[in-house]
Amino acid sequence: MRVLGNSRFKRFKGQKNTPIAISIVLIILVILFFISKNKNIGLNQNIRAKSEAVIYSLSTTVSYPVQIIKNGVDSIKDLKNIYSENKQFKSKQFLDSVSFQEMMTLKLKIAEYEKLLNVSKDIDYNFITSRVVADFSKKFNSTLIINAGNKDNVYLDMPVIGSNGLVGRVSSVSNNIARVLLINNINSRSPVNISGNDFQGILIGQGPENPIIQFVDEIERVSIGDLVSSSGKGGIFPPNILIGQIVNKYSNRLEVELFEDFEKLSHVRLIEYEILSES
Amino acid sequence: MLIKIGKYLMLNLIFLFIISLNVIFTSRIVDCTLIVALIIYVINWGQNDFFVPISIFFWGIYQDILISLPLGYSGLIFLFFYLINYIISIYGVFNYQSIKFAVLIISMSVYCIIRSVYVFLALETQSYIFIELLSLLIMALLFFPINNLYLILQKEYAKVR
Repeated sequence: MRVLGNSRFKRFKGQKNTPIAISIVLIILVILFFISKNKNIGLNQNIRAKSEAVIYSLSTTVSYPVQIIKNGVDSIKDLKNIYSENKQFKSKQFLDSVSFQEMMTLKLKIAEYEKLLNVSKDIDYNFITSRVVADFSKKFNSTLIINAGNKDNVYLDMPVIGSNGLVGRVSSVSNNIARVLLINNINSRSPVNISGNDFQGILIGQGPENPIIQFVDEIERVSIGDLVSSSGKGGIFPPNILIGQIVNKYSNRLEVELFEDFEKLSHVRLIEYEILSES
Repeated sequence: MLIKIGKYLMLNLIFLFIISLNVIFTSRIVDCTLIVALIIYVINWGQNDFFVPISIFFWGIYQDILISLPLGYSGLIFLFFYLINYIISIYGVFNYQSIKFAVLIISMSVYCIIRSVYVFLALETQSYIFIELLSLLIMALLFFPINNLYLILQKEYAKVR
């Protein structure tokens, strides 16, 4: 039996067209998988969630020498820029302190008005701070990997914000790491407000390009420079988190420049929004 | 010349290394997927190694999970360039470098057109064609150094044997 098995194996191995046949079969399988992807979402996510952490660890280990060199080059660049940055910070220091004082005064006023109006506290939230460990924001499927996972109480669809605005939401979680689907990801659709609560629309990611807003009523009344923030509809993102600014206006869509520069993000905040709104 | 086991393992390590660089490099112009595809295209794989397309496909899946692409996407690109490599080997033009380069340019153009059409129709978004072309141009420019390095290694290997 064993000899027969071996000879069959050799015959199979010796076939000239075997690789081409295998390649074509694999290509057909992938195309079929793409066509039926909606039916396999659960399976697809399961495979990803289980293997992502292992693959990420392996890749980080393999690319570690290059990472060291890159860090060295980045440190030299930082040292080079430190003098001019210090000069800039000094000149901005006074302005920043003035804006901070104004901001605090406004915050106190808002708190006072909320108390008077008896506004519910559902937009208060706790957060977890996490470090960005891998940045795929310039790829077509824009994502980030952060070093917080199930063990830190990170859960699926948790909103993620940066220092300047909304970043995205958690799309997969393993024990130690989580993947963040950025708002400019081609699969991302987020309900937004434009210039306060005047207009509403859906922010659609365009990969590395600026995202667009569609389905806006009375689009002609929107102006370039209007602020875009999360609307809170859909229950994933909290309301009134800044996203960006309108930079271009077309007949049926608006182009948005994001406030957050994903490439420069080193840390993000994961908001425990869902838990508080449920309790 | 058939790829021997040691050489084959070495190649897989190179693939692992290049794919892992995705974690570090965020540039859109230097695309690690295309560099792996170029290496696959340059190498003379031999015509009866049935495990080659399977391993190439495996590396595609590995990359898809790493950078969160639809499963099978990178494998499809790798297998496309493997098939082109296989076809030019069958027709006996593998050792004619100018023809090999011309076929690479045609294959890249086909890849670029299919990708742009897919992005436009299926994802309802526009790919930034200038960046796409720039990354393909870099791939074309990388053909000569990678191909020459491979030819030198191949000669050295023949001498040792």
